[in-house]
Amino acid sequence: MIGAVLIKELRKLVREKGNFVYLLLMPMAFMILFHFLFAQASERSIKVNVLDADHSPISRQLVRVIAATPGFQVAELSGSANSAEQQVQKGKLSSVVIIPPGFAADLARHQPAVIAIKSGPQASASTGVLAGILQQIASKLADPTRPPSPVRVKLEQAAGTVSPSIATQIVPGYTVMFVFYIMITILRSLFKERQSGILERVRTTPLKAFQYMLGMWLPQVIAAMVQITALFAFGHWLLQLQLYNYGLLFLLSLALSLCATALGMMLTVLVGSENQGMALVQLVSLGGAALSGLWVPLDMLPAGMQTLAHFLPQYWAMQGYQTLLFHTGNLGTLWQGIGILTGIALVAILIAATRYNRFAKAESI
Amino acid sequence: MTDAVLLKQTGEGLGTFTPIKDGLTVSKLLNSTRPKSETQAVVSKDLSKTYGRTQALDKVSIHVAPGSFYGLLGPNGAGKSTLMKLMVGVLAPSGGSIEVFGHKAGKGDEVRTMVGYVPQDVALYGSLTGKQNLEFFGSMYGLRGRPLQQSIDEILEFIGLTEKAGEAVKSYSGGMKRRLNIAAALLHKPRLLLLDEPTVGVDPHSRQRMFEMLKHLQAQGATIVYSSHYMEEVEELCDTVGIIDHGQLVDQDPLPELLARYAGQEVYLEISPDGTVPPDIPAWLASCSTRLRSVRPLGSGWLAEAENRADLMADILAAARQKALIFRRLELVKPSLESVFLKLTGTSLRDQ
Repeated sequence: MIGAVLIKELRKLVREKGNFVYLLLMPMAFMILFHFLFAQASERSIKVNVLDADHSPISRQLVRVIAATPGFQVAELSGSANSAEQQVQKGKLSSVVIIPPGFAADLARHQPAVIAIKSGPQASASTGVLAGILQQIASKLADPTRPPSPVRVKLEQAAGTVSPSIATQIVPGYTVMFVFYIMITILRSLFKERQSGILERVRTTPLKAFQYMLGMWLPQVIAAMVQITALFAFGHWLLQLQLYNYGLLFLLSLALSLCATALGMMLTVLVGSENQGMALVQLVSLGGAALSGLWVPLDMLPAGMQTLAHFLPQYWAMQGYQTLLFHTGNLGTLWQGIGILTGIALVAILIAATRYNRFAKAESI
Repeated sequence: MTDAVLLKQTGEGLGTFTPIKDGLTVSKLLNSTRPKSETQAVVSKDLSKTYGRTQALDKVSIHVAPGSFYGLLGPNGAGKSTLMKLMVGVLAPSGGSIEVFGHKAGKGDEVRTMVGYVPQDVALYGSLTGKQNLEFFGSMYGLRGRPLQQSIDEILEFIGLTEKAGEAVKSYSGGMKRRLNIAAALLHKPRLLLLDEPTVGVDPHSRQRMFEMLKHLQAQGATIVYSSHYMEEVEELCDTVGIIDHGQLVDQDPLPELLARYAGQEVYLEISPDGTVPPDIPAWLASCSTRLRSVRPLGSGWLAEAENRADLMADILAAARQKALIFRRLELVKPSLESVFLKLTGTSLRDQ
């Protein structure tokens, strides 16, 4: 019986052309649009993460000059160069400028003094601009009477990462965002079943409530998986996104699909009307996207929002995808995200199950 | 072939059916084997249902005999749909009990497998084909494989939609959708068919086709409960009628008994202005016959009721000859459910 509900639901999904628009065409259009915009536009305000390991008057002066340079916004880090580089590797920072210990001493001796910019996978074309401007600023710190300046700004890719590209932000970002739009399909489908009297009719048959719920849920999971596959394939072929570790990519996508669809089922049975549900879907999808770093790298967001992101499923999905896309992920690093997404899915579907009867009976009265 | 194939029963009892139009033979569409004991199809005792503070049903005790065509007559909001949903177990009673073929409704799957429920609205998937809809609803009753396909083929033939089966339901006419709506409840060969106002918004031609279908289903042995607020439908189709109003079952009985008991013996008359016109027609009628019980205006004329309408008419005619009255209309009124309803509820169903 579950199979019959599932097949029926899949047939309906395929025949409802509107689903293709907001589940596939819209995210693809967004990807192309924002890929084009970010690739063309120079960033007006670049966030510069700086680790001053030298703590000398000259290094402090350098940090102040960078901070005073229009278009730069400095965030000073503490800790070691290694820990800063690890944060870049993990995707928590897009890049970091490291002023090494002994920088001032090298400069005084007119020895090569190297400032490293560790570039992570999320770093955009702005890192190159930063390197050029930093070279100009730092060169002026050296003795002008003894050219050439010993200061060298070295742009390095953080260890273990792959070449960053705009696609590594845009493709997973918009995929995760639009996967949550599957909630619209679920909401519309269930409300239509109820309003048309079909749900009531189904309830007059021997079909059990859990069979109906599973039959309605699983096709949406399949649809979300197809959606993710199509969008990543689109990113791979059109936006040159490099894909790695397909097994983990599948697991993470499955967890995300379960999570988004279960939340859709829960939301549908909790809301009082379809319109109310639609408003909440927008809030969850767009609000979650904005707060979880789906549109811009997370470290560009205020600290409070970065903390808040940890409570959102989109954050865990995005972090997981980026870890995989930067080729730094394995099950050990991904299990937390997959576990959280699956956990949210379980809780949501249990709430949906407990509220189903109330939802189903509403139209019978 | 889009027309419903009309079937006539051949032989005794519940054998096979032969279509009237051509030589097709359609096997039995319903599980019509009657139980050995005369278990009532539906029995409710003091059945009540409340929604919040609203009393939808108030101590309804209904009896539907197996094989009967039971009409549930009442205005909108009287509680007909609620009663049907209680029969199939979609709703739970607030008080009292209800059994279908000896099984408590809403408990277990026995009742659900024995009942086919046709909701008031067309509850089908418009984007799916007719056949896919039937596959889905048949599967809900556990049918699969060859039995399911066989049942679908038979039903499609029966409702005359075989050639349309591969088309999306949204392309069907209103009448076709209604027939398919009924067909979806027949696939599992139910013993009891519940139809909740199935002809609302249906054109007369499609309605007549549906009636043919339903009459044949009853002839095959199905018990049918048919709710409606159209008296003509109930009079044409049903052998037993329950009148429900404001959540209460006012009365129920075989239709002839109800008519005999409650329908007035009435004469309708309109007096022509070409002859003498009594200034006070009710008073004149009262003077005509000692048998007169009541007089009330109806349309352009008057409705007079007596113990025997033929005697009353004879009295009126005799008195009219003496006064040189000319009648525009003078008719014996056929006993109707309308007058039964009026007598039992004090209101006219047409007015509601």
